[in-house]
Amino acid sequence: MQLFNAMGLVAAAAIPVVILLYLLKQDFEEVPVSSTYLWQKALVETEASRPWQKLRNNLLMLLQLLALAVLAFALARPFLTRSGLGHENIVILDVSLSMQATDAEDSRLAAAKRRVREQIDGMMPGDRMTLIAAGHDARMLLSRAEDKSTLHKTLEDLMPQNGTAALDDAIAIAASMHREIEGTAVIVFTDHDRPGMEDFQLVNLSQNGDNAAVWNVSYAEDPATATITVLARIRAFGAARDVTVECEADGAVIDVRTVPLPQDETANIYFKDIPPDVRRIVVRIVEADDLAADNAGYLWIPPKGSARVLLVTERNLFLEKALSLRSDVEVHKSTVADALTLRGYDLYVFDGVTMPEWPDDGAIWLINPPAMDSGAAAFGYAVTDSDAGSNAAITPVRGTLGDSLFAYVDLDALRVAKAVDFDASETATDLMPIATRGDAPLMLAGERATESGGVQRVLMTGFDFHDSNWPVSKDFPIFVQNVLQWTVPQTTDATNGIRAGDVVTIAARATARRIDITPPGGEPVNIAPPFPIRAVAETDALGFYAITQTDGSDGVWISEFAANPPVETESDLRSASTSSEGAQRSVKRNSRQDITYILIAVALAVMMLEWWVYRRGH
Amino acid sequence: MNETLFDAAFLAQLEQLRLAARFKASGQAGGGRKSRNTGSSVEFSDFREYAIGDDYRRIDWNAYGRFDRLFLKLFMEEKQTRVHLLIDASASMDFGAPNKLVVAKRLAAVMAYLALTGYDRVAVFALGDSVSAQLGSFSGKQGFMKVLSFLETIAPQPRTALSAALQKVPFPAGHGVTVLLSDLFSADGYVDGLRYLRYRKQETSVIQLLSPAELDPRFEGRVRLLSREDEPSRDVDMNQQTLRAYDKALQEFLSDVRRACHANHMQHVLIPTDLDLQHMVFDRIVRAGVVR
Repeated sequence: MQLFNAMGLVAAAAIPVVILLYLLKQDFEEVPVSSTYLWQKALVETEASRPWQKLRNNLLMLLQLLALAVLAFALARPFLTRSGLGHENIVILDVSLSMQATDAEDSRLAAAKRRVREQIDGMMPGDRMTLIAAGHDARMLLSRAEDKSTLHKTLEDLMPQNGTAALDDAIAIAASMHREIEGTAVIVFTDHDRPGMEDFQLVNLSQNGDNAAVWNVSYAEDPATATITVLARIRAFGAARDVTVECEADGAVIDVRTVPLPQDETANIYFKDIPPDVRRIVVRIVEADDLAADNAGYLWIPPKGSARVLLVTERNLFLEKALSLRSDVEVHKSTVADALTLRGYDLYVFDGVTMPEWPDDGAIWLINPPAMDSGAAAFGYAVTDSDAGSNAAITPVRGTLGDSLFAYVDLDALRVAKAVDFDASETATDLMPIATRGDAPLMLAGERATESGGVQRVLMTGFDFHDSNWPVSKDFPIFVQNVLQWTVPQTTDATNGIRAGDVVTIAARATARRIDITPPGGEPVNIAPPFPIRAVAETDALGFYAITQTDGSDGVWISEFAANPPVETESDLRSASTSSEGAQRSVKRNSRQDITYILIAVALAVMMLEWWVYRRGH
Repeated sequence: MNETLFDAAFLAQLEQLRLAARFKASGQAGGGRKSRNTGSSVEFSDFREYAIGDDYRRIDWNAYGRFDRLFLKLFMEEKQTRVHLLIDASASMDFGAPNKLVVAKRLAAVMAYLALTGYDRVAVFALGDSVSAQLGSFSGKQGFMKVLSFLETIAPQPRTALSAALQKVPFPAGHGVTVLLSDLFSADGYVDGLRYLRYRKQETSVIQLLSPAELDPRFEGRVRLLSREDEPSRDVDMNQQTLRAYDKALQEFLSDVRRACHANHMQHVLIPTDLDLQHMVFDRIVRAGVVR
């Protein structure tokens, strides 16, 4: 037998108190009599059976003590056990943005925590619980913990996040444990519809709250007036309503609008004539609803600065045009001889040429490099004209920089008549193939450390664009813009597509020696050195993040990006599904018989017996 | 005791009782009682021849004229009975509702009235651990008020020693009638006292007075019995068993009393003090033969 609550035995301390009170009990009623003459005779006879009389007089006390002892034991919640496994519970808690909705108690997450607390309190000795938080990623907070205080503390410290919920990852972890550990019950607390949860118990905390969200904020420049127009899209997830929306530019409210918002519809609001030097735009819904976090949208407008590109080519109109499509890019053409000394460009494009010494103050794009050993060897590859892989299909290499460089680019349509071969030299290289033709690498990309201590982005394209059908396809300018986005930080507009929790890759300048990131309302956090710069995953806070790059002297470059709530997945608070028990498999449970209620029944029976004895005596 | 012992109603009751009851006793003084002995009374009884030494004033000269011999006229001798009323005035008698001592006094008044109106002599004694008070022997109805006054002055005594007190009662020589009014709760018992009364040639009637609370106690729970007598208190857990034991002790006690009275040729009357006076006298006392 074990005790679930050994502290309950403290109640047994009342037993000596009862005995003491019984001994000290002096509640005799004084009664006058003429004489105790006859009473003495009577008591002599009763005292003849004194042992029984004493016992009977004490029987009430004994019964009271017995009832008290049984109750104290019941408070200790004893249970009978047999050997076997403890009861395993895996609890998955959704901590995504929508769990902050206030349609359930203080919040859905608070409601989930309350239920988990009840689970923890109901744990028997030997039971174990695993806590998994499903936020930006699946985090195992505690694994097979038995200590209730630790579980409560961990649960208490769990805070909601502003991103999505990696429920798939969390459920995968739980499923793995479920298979390995016999007798495991999995409970998922979420507000999202989750089909296919037959094996697990799903607790859906959605109360179908009412919500409106800033769906998207974007801008456009009006070249005629040199002003900015901001487009804010507001969406209703529920009944129709009027919403009041204010637009804030660099901290000052510049406009407030009230617009009708139809049920489950989107309304577009234009805020015009915003000065071109405004950098931060915040669009905010004034009315409160069940989810406040998505009532604001953030937009960062990058400064209209010039990105300098040096194009070293004999003749490549396609490339020159493609590079010049961006109005903030200045393309400078140069000869090889002049390029030897020209510096200070953000991007150096060497088309069909090689350099004895490569610049390290900007990114480099080598296009169709001539066969060489020493030149490309600086990047870890030897270039040959073997044209291996010809006629083979061109495919991107997934999971590399090619994912962003070939975004919206269809490589299946690319036909290359001739290409060079990149042979990895013995020199260590940071460039990796991002596209192949057959088995031969066709394009390489990566970041390398420069001799001056910076980080340089390098792209190598192994064919002349003139030897392909690319320049006449729509994919070519897209590819060039993707290259510009990656190689030249000032021109990137990926600063406004980030959702809270996204992993952000910072485009470090080649000359940057130190890079800090300042989250909204927080302190700067150093993210480089060391180089190569790590991806920034700490983007849960909503608002503007400032990236400060310094080159060790007086050069400071500040750019920003905005992290917005994932409204696409989190703002609709309505849920079609309900909680499900799941097909809880019969698991081998610990054989435990809680005998608390039996003891309570015994205590009641003893008290009834005591009452009967008392009445019987009188 | 704050009760009025002898009010007009009580005295009226006494008159009715007098007409109906008489003490039955023998005595020597001239009283209103017929005695088996012949003596100098006005009621003719018989003749006998004169013997030298007889009182010549009793010679019946008519009989001499007829028979030419000297005869003495004999008369029924009327003797006075000495009635002794012994009232137990111990502390245990100062108990009950009605108060036992009050009842004893009233019964004593009844006895005294009957005796005095029957031309008997009456003496009243209050007993504690000895004779605490006494009213000397006297006769005649005019003495009744003295009896009443005396009875009112009797106060409860703190200690009880009934046998010792009985043995200190100054009985006159010769026979007498004694009525003992007591509850017989005495540390030194009562048997020796009864024997002494028999020794002193007293025709004794023991009127035992007990209150309803003594005959049928109705206590519950844990009680501390505080005795009126000089006895230590007793803590008792009152339950059915205890009450049954008390009842048994009571019956044994009463049985012992009856046995002791019978052994000493005494009348015993048990009177609950909650009876009215008429019932006490006629249902109990007359029926027991104390009076007739």
